Amino acid sequence: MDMIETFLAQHPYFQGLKDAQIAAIARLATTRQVAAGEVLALEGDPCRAVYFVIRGRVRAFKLSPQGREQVINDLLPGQIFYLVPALDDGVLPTTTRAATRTTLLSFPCPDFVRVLEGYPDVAVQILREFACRLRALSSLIEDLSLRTVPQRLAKFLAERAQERAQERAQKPGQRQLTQREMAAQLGTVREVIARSLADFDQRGWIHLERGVIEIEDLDALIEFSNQCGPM
Amino acid sequence: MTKKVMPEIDREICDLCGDCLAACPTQALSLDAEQQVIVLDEERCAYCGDCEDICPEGAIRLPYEIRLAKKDRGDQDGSA
Repeated sequence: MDMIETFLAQHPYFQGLKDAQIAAIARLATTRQVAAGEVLALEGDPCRAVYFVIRGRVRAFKLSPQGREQVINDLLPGQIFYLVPALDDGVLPTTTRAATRTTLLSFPCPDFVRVLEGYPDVAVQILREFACRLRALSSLIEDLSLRTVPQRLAKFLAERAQERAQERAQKPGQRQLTQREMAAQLGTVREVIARSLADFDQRGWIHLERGVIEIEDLDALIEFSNQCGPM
Repeated sequence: MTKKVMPEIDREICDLCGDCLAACPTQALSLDAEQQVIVLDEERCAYCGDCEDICPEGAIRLPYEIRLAKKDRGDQDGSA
């Protein structure tokens, strides 16, 4: 099996397909190596390909009218992007740029649509993921309309700390998250989380040290997360 | 004495590309060519996260435990 076939065979979308089916799908794809900082595609351009991240990290962002980058999310190994415009024939919703040295797998849009048509199991796996994303987005929209990123982080920290305090009485082992994983859950990026944590630490609401976020003032965090208007 | 928290390096995923060595601002990472592993100098590591950011394989994690301060945890963990 070559690299493309190996990647597809291990990917959740293509679970259960026979080797010959994987090989047939792999023949439609090509790999592309990109250097850190290289722009992959521009917001507003027509969609030509669907991409999987094999290795590395891709940042998707939009440009504000003032030219400021608004980061939408970071795409990690295994994740797919530009599937939505491939399906609805729309233009690209974001600009994408390699954040690190990156290896991509790309399918021309018509070919990937043919894959979905020819392999219903693949389409069902993707639908399941879209259903999860939709549910998470609905929850995030509710949060977005009510809270800024720092407020969402404050709410998140307060809830996690309280859950952990209850769990410790029963069983240990709540999974520890990295700042990047927190960012992904809260609809932002790591740099914003890092800045917000530093700010909370300065305000005395948390004590931030290596591998530990200790909540010093739970009431202040909760009150801040429920405030109207920005910080 | 509490052991210092260190980044987690998944040596199964790490492909020894060395990007993390250049990214580390305190030169806490090095490559043991003989053993074929990335080595972390615990005294130098500042837990800044630059290595996690740059790793193209996602082999490095800097996790955080989120907890209430001891005064609010009471004796739920038996430590009071």
